[in-house]
Order: sequence, then C-alpha cells, then structure tokens
Amino acid sequence: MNPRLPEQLRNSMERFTEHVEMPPGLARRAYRRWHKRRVMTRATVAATTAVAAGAAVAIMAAGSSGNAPSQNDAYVVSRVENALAAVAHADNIAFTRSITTSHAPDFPSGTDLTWYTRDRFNHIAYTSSGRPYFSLTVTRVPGGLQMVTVQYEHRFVGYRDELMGARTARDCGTAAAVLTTVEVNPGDMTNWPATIRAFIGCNVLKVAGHQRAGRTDLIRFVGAQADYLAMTLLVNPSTFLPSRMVVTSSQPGQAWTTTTEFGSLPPTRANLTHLSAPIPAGFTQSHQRPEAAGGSFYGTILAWLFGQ
Amino acid sequence: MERGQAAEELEDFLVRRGKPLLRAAVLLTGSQEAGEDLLQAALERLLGHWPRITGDPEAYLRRTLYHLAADGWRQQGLWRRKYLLLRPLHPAVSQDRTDEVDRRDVVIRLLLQLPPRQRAVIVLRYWEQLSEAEAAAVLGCSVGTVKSATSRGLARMRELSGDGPDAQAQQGQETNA
Repeated sequence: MNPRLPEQLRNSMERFTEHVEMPPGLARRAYRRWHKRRVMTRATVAATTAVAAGAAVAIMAAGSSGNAPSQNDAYVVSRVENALAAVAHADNIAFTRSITTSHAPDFPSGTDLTWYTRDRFNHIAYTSSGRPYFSLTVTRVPGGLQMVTVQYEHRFVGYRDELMGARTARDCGTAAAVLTTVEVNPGDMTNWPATIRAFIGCNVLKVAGHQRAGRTDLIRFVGAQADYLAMTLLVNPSTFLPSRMVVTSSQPGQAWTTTTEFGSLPPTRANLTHLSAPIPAGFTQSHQRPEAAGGSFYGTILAWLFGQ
Repeated sequence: MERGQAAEELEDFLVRRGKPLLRAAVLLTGSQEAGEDLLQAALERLLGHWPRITGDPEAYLRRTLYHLAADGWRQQGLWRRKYLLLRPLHPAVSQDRTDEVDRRDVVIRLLLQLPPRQRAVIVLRYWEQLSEAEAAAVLGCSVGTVKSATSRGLARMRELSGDGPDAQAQQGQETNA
C-alpha cells in the first residue's frame, strides 16, 4: 500500500468539496417533501384500496391455494363480476370513503374520498380537521391518461399527460405490484376482469368465513401483504358487492388502520361534480411533459404517486 | 414544537453549521446534487422523528447521513424499495457517479468505486478524522467492523489504482526481467 494514501485522501477530499455551498431552503424542501410523502402514502393506500377492492372480492372467493375455485367459489366469483358489471353499465358512480386512524409519524390520520366511473377517477385526501390537502384526478383519453393533482397547502396544481406503455410482466410481490401489471381496456379503466384474473393468479386474498355487521352476515376475506400488514374485505352476500375493507399495519412505530366503506351513487348532475376536484383561484399551475409510463391504469397512477 | 417551525429552525441551523455535513454528503455520493439529495433525505428522517429528538439535532443528522449512505440509501431506502415496484416503468439510473467527478482527481474516483459502507468508513476516518471507536459509534457497529472496512477499503483503492499486491508483484517481475 502506498503509505501516503490517507494523506492523499484527505487532500483530495478537501479539494473535491472546497467549492460546495449550502443551498438555501434545503430544510424547507425537506419538510415539504416529508409532508407530501406522508400524504401520498396514505392517499395511495386509500386510492389503491378503492380501485382494487371490487376486484379483490372475486379473488378471495377463488380460495387461498391458488388452485381452481370450487363450484361454490366460482359461483361467488361469477356473482361478484355480474354485480360489478351491472354497476358499471348503469353508469353509476362508485364511491369510497376511507378513514385512517394512525399513531405513525409518517402516516397521518384523516379521510380519503374517491369517486370513479369507467373513464374517470377522482381522489381527495383530507386532514383530520377536514381540510383538503391533496387530490388526484385521472381521465382516460385515447392512448393515455390526463392527470391533475392539487396540493392545497402549497397552492399548487400540476397537469400531466401520461402515455400508456407496453404491458409489464406479472409481479405478485404486493397488491400494488399486481395492479401495475393489469392492462386497461378502452373505456373501462378499472378493467375488473383483468384485475380479477391478476389477483387470482397472485393469490392475494382468501375466503375466511363470515362476519356479522349489524343484522347482515357478510362474507369475509382476509389477506396479508407482509407480516405487519393485514387486510380484511367484507362482501355483501345479497348484492355481492364489496361493503368494507380494513387495512391494518402493526409494524412497531407505524401502527395505523384504514377502513374503507363502499357505495354507489346515481349519475345525477350533483353527483357528477364529485368527479372533479375543486381548484381555488390563484394556485400556481404547472404543465408537465408527457412521459411513457406503465402498461396499466394503476401502474401509471402508482408510478406517478411514487415518483413524487 | 410543530414540524413546520422545526423546519424553519433547521434552516437556520444549516446556514450556520450545515456546510460540513453537506461536504461529507458530497463525498459519500460523488456530486453536489446527489449530496444535497442525501442530506435532504436525512432531514426528512429527522423531521419524521422530531417529537422524540431532544437537544442538538446535529449528532442525529450526522448519524442518519452516514447510516443512509452506508446502507446504500438510493438502492435500499424504504421509500425507494416501494418505488422499485415500478422499476420496469422507468429506465434504470446508473449508480456509477464517477462521470460526475473531476477526472483529474484519481483518488476521489477510487473512493467512489468502493461499496457504500467502506466509503462511509473511509470518509469518517480520513475526512471527519474520527477514531475507530468514534466512527463505530456513528455507524452503530463494532470497532472491529470499522477496522476491517477501513483496511478493505484502502486495499481496494490500491488495487483499483494498480498499486495492489498483484500489480506490485507484476512490477517486481518486470524489474527482475
């Protein structure tokens, strides 16, 4: 070894960093990013739950082994698919409300509301005091998606067009990963059948009997994404539509629970206004260039969310 | 204290005492831009744990900076791991930062070719001029680990520079010939 190497190192390191200057606003940028990221994390969980739950219902019915569903399970799957198709064909607006209670510093409590149709998706996240602080609106257009985000606290509106790319290989690592591999059909951006098939193929959830909710006996499905992340989905046996989904994290220091209730609204003029997020006047607007994104509706949204 | 207010106080703190931290971050990553990203990531983590932090934040920030760097922050951070879900959707970014380095400075280029943990140890020992015990305390590892990482790091740098045992042996053969 060159005995002078430590000395050379010290001199080189000194020279290499002698012109480094601390940029102004680094801590403020860190705060904004930290704040936005925790918002995005919760919003992503809620939004993913909202769009995935209907499909997940069928999966669970397929059983936990990943084998062909039993006659009974196949019946449930079929009924769920028909029920979801009926909702879609009636042009109803699917609606979810997610309430998060959290003791985790990076996962704030609050409420998330989502409305979606076959070609539009609108998600608004609220603080625990009821202030909107983030929204994501996605509209399916030929060849891609138009996305609008609003960060209310920072008075910022971002517009972005995303081009749909090639389909990606199936990845069963997580529910989100499964979703990124689902292709979208024109005019049906939630693409339930493909989503259902992907979830069945990845064996995300399984039937776990029944659970009483008031006077109703609901079909109960459970699943896990990790040792600390548990999911429970309840399906109404009369309508075969999802009723409630609970996602719980028991990770030390990161304990939170998100409970999502599902509903459907008729396409009245008043209800259709929920498909757009309110944008107050005076917000800074940013138009971003289109990017070739994922091969699916979910993939594109998740790429965008995680890429923030 | 609210985190928003904490960010303001941290801003003042960085103006007064942030430059050495940023210089270390630049050495750990290989460029000013990546160094700022690393320091910002450490600040984000600090803000996440703010209610539990008492006293001077510098020690926590310094420790976090080196922990992130040593753990291969860009590749293995929790958020980055989630992001990897979507990796096929984005072209891979090369982790080799040597292009960003002043090519005249061979020593720095060698440093940046070391694995993250060895690089962190070298910066702690020869830039921060910490003792082995102090470096071990910052990284949360044993003194033995610091010793071996330092030794391997320096040996690797010599090897990469053509000054290693093989090169020396080869030079010896050429001289004898």
